[in-house]
Amino acid sequence: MARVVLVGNLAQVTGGVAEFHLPATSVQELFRKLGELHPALAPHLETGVAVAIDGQIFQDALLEPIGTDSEVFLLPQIAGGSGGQVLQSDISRRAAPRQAGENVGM
Amino acid sequence: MGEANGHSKTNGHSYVGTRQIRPDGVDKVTGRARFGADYNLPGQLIGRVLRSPHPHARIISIDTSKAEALPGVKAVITRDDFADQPSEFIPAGEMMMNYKDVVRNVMAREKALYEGHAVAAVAATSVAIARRALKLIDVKYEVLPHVIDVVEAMKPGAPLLHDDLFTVGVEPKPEKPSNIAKRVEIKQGDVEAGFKKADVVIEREFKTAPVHQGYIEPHAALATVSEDGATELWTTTQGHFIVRAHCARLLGLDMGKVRVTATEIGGGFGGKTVVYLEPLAIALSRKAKRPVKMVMSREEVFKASGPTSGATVRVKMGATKDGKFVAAFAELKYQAGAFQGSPVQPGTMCAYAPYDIENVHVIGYDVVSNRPKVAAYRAPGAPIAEYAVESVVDEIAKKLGLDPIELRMMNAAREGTKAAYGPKFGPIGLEETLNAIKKTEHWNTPLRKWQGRGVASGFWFNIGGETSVSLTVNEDGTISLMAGTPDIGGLRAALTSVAADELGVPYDKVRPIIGDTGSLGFNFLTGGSRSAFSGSMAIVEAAKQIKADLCARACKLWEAKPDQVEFSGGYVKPLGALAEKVKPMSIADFAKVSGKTGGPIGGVGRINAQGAGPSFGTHLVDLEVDPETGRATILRYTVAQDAGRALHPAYVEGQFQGGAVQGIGWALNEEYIYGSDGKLQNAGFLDYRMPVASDVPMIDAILVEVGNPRHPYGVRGVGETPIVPPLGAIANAMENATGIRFTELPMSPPKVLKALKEKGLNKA
Repeated sequence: MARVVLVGNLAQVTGGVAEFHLPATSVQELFRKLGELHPALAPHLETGVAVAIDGQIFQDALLEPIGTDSEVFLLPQIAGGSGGQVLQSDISRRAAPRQAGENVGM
Repeated sequence: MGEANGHSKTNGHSYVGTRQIRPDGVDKVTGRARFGADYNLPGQLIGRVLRSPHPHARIISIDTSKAEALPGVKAVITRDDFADQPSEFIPAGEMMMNYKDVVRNVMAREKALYEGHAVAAVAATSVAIARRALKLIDVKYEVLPHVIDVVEAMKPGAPLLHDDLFTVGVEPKPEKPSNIAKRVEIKQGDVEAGFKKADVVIEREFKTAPVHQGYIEPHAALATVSEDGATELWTTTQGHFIVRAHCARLLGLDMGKVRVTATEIGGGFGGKTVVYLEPLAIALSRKAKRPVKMVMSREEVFKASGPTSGATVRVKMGATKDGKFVAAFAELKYQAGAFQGSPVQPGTMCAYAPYDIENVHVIGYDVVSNRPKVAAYRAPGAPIAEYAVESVVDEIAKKLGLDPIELRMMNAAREGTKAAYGPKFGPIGLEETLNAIKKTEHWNTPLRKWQGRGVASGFWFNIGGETSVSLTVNEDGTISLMAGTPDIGGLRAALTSVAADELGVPYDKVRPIIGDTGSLGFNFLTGGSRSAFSGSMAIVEAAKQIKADLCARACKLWEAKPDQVEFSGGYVKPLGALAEKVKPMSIADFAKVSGKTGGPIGGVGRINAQGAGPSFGTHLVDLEVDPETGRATILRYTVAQDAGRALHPAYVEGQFQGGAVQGIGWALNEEYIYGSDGKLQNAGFLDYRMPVASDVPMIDAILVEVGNPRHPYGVRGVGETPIVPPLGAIANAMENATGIRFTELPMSPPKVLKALKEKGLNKA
């Protein structure tokens, strides 16, 4: 199972739990499983994190594979992201916008 | 330079790694290149912005009737012309942003939050009429107390900018609003236990001033909106697709109806990743039904476009007597300007990234005050944090009697080191940059009295991101290359080299252009040191498609099987027995028969580039202090940085040199100076002192090339790291020259002279 570590303020959303061992084969599956464990984490995973898999940082890469023994860190977004993508999905109103008070300072 | 230092090998490629002439160079040196303000349309109007004279004021009312009645005025816009936006954070530009704030920053709504905040805008038939119209707009303000300093803004009872801003990242959630937008934290190991193992502990507090990106070309935009809502915009920007997205969102437009062209750009450095004039020009054009051109004055650039944060930083580091760092703590308080969103998060992550330290704890605060909203500036947040850390590292070296390079080498992050922000590094080149600096003649040259030498290292993550390019084979066999990220630092030359090598054609047979938003798929902006990294990956993909297509056509023409042909050296070549029957065909040969073999030939690369490799650098600087005036003169400067692989060494060196020079300005002179009235006192280049050519020596650049295994050519981004080490390196050189540890930037002559006088050192 992959070892998953939340970096920075994300652990505030999980009640202080910062480390997980989860059987996920992709970033998408990892996000889904984390969201099921901690629903409050889900909106942050949608827009606010980068993923480091075995030392390599990925951004906006839901389909990136995760190995059985991978070490995965969820990090604050690093100088980047896609304004266009977010806007397109916003037009389709995929979810209620995050309110300022819900942000954990990622 | 790079070649003199044994780098820039071509490794079998004809053009990658060589110093080809910049395709856009001739137009730029002859003045033919068209920058933002060079664009005009028939019948265009001139747009001007009315800005708040107050640093903090409630807007009671705005009466535009007299301005609208003035002959020649065709449109006036205010807050009422922009729909409010919900509070929603998105990653945009190089930092997170919130559209609720963006709509208020482009046009003040409830309050004006800084001097220069846009309050209204007009479009008129001449500049004179537009200026007169601004004077006729009657804005009634209720002036409010203001706060400029970050520490003052954090105090209970400080003037409050936003009554709905509650600090996030703290438990329990605050019951009262404050100017502290968020608290962020990076933590690993046990810092307190680490400090107990330390033989030496140094703790210092540092202050840095906000500095502007200082791009030579002011913001400019030209918009035209037709009766059916089709919108065209020409603007100087680092990312025209991002501009399209922001304008569509703020004005309720379909993206497909908005076509944005990025003009040539006279510098951005992160400051042109956001919108200021663009939505105003479109809104005015929509209202006036004529094209509208808007250009900022330099004063407006200073007062109303983002500088980077000023900050207060406390650093505490512990080391054993043999020099091993065992614990590191830092507290960063960054100014965000009038709206939340300083680069404090990357500051926390970068602060200790160059070092292998088991116990690290960094806390950051994002603080609003009555200043213009900060924008990204090269390696946002990193120079401030790493300046403070590198100053303390130097003090530890001095206290332990260790060589500062050896101390850094002993603690340097290497492949496999667990970064302070979590993951392990892959192959990185910090150690190589330290070694390169140590071997220089510069490092081993003696100094005289009042001269000092400083060294510092720095780090930036680098990113990839969404990128689209196209390669088209023209009828004569030449290649048209289209990229969608504005060319700021030699992108066209770098991508042309890659395309020429991939397709095996001469460099001058590939002509690159920057396409508009209607010509390519989405491109994230030029920033994050990503455009050459991501663009070259996309070019490789596009070239692959062309090569595969040509091989397929050859198979049909030659009635051959796929394994009987190959593409190499610009030709599709027959293999084996087939080679005796047919001759190889060049790309130009295929171009001649493209219509007969399936139609136009081309390829597109559409990728979300991953695998950006971090870049580390080490800077070495000599300076001399004049004890009578306090002025520091930079005598000599050497940059060593890991570029992975330099696609175009001259432009990589240019990035190193430019970052060093901007860092020199940040360290020695640049600062926003506010009066007690909360107004900026030095909004012009005469009073805001940036380095000019005569202020700096030739910057020596050493290309270190530790290949990035995730890139087909080994490329790492190079644009941001060079601005990270200069602040610390220069502070360390000042200490070496004067014996005084300066903990406040800029180290301008008055401050240096004052410190020298206090120590009785102000005589040669």
